[in-house]
Formats: sequence, C-alpha cells, structure tokens
Amino acid sequence: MSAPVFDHIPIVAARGSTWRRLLADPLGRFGLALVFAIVLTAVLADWIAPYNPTRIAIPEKLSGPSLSHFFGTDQLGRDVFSRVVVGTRIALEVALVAVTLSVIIGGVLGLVAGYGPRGLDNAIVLVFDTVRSFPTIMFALALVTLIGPSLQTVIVVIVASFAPGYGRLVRTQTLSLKQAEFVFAERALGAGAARILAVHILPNVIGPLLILASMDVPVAITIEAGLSFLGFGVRPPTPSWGTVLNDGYAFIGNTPWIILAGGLPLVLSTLGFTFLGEALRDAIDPRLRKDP
Amino acid sequence: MLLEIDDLSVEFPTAQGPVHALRHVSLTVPRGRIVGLVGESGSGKSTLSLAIPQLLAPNARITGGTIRLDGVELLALPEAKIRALRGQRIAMVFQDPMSSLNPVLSIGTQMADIQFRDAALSRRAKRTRAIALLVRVGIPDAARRIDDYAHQFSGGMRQRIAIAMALSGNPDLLIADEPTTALDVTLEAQILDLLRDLRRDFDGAILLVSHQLGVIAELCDDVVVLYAGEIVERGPVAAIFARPSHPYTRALLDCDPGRLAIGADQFPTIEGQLPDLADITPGCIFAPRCKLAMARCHREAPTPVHLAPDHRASCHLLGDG
Repeated sequence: MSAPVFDHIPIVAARGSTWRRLLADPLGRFGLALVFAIVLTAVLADWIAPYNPTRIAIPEKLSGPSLSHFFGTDQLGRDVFSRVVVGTRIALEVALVAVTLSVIIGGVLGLVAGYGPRGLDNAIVLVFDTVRSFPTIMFALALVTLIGPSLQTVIVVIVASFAPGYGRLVRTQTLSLKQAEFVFAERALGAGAARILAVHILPNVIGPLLILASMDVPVAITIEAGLSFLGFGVRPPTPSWGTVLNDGYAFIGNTPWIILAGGLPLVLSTLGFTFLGEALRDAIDPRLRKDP
Repeated sequence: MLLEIDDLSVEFPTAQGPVHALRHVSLTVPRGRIVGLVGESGSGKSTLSLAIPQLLAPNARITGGTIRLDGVELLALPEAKIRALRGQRIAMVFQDPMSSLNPVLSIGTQMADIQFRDAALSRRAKRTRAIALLVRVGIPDAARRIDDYAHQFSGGMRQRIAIAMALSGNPDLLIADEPTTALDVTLEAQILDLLRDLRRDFDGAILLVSHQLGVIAELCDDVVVLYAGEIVERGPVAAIFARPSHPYTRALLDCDPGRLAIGADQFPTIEGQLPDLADITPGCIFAPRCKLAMARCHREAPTPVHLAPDHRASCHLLGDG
C-alpha cells in the first residue's frame, strides 16, 4: 500500500471535531472571544457609542478620560470612545471586504493557473510576481495619486497585496492535486475541467486558504489604519482607528489617551484574529494535532 | 465487436529519442466477455488501457493504428466527443482504491456528482441511485454509510465504491487497470467475484489489466499477452493455459507462484530484463531473453501464427505464419 501522497493537505472531514478542538485550545477560546467582541462592537456600534462620533464640542476639547467620555475627547471635543467604536465598523468592513475579494480573486486565478495550460500558468504567475514586487506603501501612494484617497483605494491596495499570495498557495495545491488519482479517476469518468476544479479541487484547497485569510484580517485592519493615519484612506471627519491615531499624534505629549484609545483596538483585534487563525490551523491540520 | 484495436503504436518522445511503448498492437473485445491483458511491469499494459479513452499523458504520440468502439473510430473524434464517451460508454477502475476517491467529499456527494449528465434527475433521485449502486457492489448498510468519507472504508470497500462509480454511467466497456493489485488475497477474491457477478447483468465487456496470471485465469474468457509493447500471444483462456505457445507465455506461467510445486525452494525467474524501448533491435522482441532463440530470431521479427481460429502467437518456432 503506497503512502498517502497528499498528507500535506489538511483533511476537513469531521467538522464537529474541528470545532471541539478549537474550543479546547485556550488560545483559540481567547481569540474567539476577542473576535466575537470586536464583531459585536462593530454590529452594535450605533447603540454602543454614547455620542455622535462627528459631533464637535469645542468647549470640551482635549478633556481627559472621565465617566462621560471614557477615552476623553480630541482637539475638536469629539468623544474618542464613540469614534473608536464606530471606527471598529469601518475597520472590519474594509478588512472583510478586502480579504474576501482577495480570496475570490486569488483563489480563482490560482485554480486556473494550477489546472490550466502551461502558458496561462506562466502569465498568471508573472502577474502575481509583478504585483507583489511593489512595496504596499508605494503602491498605495501611486493609487492615491491616481484615484484619490478613499475606502475603495484602501481595499484595492489590500487586495493587490493579498491576492497574489493566496493565488500562489492555491496554484501550488492545485498543481499537486491535479496529479491525484481521484482527479484522474474523475476525468476517466468524463468530468470536465470546471467540474473537477469546483467539486474536487476547491474543497481540498479551501481549508488552508481560509486559515491564511483569517490570519490576514488583522494585517488588513492595520493597513487600513496605517493608510488612514497617513491620510490615504478614510477622510476626516469619518472616524477610523487610523484617523483617531492621527488626531492624537499631534498631542501625544499632553494627551496620550487619544493615541492609546486608537491603538488599543488595533492591538486587541490583531491578537484576537491571530490567535483564532493559529488555533484554527492547529485544529484543522492533522499533523499539528496533539490529541490522538 | 465492441472494441477493436488494430495495429496501434504509441511512443513517448524523450531526450534520448522516442520510446516505443506500444508497437503494432491489435486486439478485440467482444461484447459480454472479459478480456485479460497480462504482462510484466513496463510492458505497456497501462499505456494500452489509457489509450482507449484517450487519457494518455499529453506528450504521448499515437503514431499509427485505429481504436474502434462499435465501429466508431475513437482516434478521429474531437475531445468533446471523447469526453462524452468517458463514463458513459467507457469507464475505468484504477489500481489504488486508497487514492482514487476524493478524501474531503462524502461518498454520496461524489456519487451524486458523477451523475452530472442526468440533469433531469433530482438530488434525491441521484442519491437513491447511488445507494442502489452501492448495494449492487456489496457495500453493507449502504443507505446509512453513504454519507461517510473514503477514509472510513477499508481498501476492499473503497474498490467496490470505485467500481460503483464506474458503473453509474452504465458503460459498455469497463477497463479495470490492476483492480486488485493493492488488495490482499481475500479481498482480491471478493473483487474478482464481484466483477464476474457484474458481467452477468451488465451487457458490456470488461478489459482486465493484470500482471497476475492467477487473476486472469480466474476471471477472463480471453487472454492477451503483452511483452515490451508487443502482443506475443492471444487466445481463449483455456487454450493459453493448456497450450501456451510463445516462450514468453510459458516462462510467465512457470513463474506464477500459484502453479509452483509445494516445497519448491526457488522461484523461477525470466533471466534478463525488458529491452530498452528507445532502442528496438530487429528480430523478435523476446529473443534476447529467450532460452530457445535461434539465429533467425535475432534477425527477423516473427509474424502471428494461427494455432486455432482464435489462438495466435508470434514465434518462429511455431512454423511459418
């Protein structure tokens, strides 16, 4: 009996047990709780935020943390807590839309490159390498000059920096799966390329792809905050963690709470999604399984 | 005649020049019969079985000959037409049941998906059909196990499932490429029983590829002996076993462990090795390894000699053909 050639492909067989393993991991529970809290904050932002995040109240400007303003106010007297809470929604929206688009674009291109003819493969890999060779920030600068700063710009920048990586992952897996006997057996029974890709190869590559994507969500959030901080993303007065950081940056010597309030959710979301992603990987990948 | 292969030659280009994997191969598979294709590793058995549904590697070149299914020349058909034949008229079962099923899809999902041609059939109907097929190939408790995954079945069960999938298109020709090689003896017997059983109620034919003469003797009506890409002998199974006429067939029979005397302290072997298929010498292809080779055997290739109406072998010792 020959050894299984495809043991590097996580086998997502029993979903219930994956879920159980995820919850058994303390890191997984912690990550899940954080992510849950962040998502809840984003969904309920309008109810949680005590003030309108763009409400200007000059008399209250730069006041310290208090019961009426948990994180104090900024230079225009806006409630920083409300801005951070509403900013959560923007951060998650951008991250989810961008990562989802990257998964779809990278996944489809990767499948086509891996399964299609050699020439097409080479062309797609060339595109991946070209796009990836631009430093993210240079790409962002160029794009902002071309189409102006906006949320869409941020999303395009994130997709351009993520999709090639996903594409390469899917392409590599597809290349090895293409040689799998079950794919050949399907071909022998008359299945066409589209059917083999959609029904047989996609379910085999989706696991690793989703793990990678979940670990990239905080990276996307950081890119959004970074670009907004630099003024390439969300435009003031719309609240974003990046613009909150930018507002606080000028007053860091006197009123450090603003920059802390903008940084804290960034740290928490990075931790949450990273822990969740790692625990998810451990739970799904049979080679990393600790329990028998 | 269901399948007629005539004078088929296949070669693979390599840096050292073309490898002549099959040379002037002719065979026929009548409807309702099981034809065994036997030969050692590297003799071209798999090349031949993959050439029929045109699943050879893209670099393979068919340099001559015809493959006809019910009189239709397959080599002239466009890819789309060939694809329509696969699964519907020609189906295949492969050697390793451990890897011929998708590990991440349930058996039911795979079996329903492979019925994609029946667009009119509902999901439920496809599932019911899949269960019926599983019952037919002897999966116990099929209705309950249909949602299990491949790894939850044993090797023998998986091979049964692979056979069920191959039968789902109701093919005329089932090509089984070493279907029992990866299984132990008990399971082998069960799979052979199943194939024999199936032949009775599906009105097609089976082309069984094997390197084990025991398997061929067990199941087949006709035998085709392939050596180094050439057919050296073909005929009804009884005739081949009673009167093996080509020295290679005889040597192969002598090497069959099943026919060895109890207590024999040595396995007989065929001295030498397969010739280099990139560098074919004139004369009989088996001459370099043949104990009975004469000077003539190294000079000119023998032509098939008819020993009986349907039994022929290619050897100079059999007189002039």
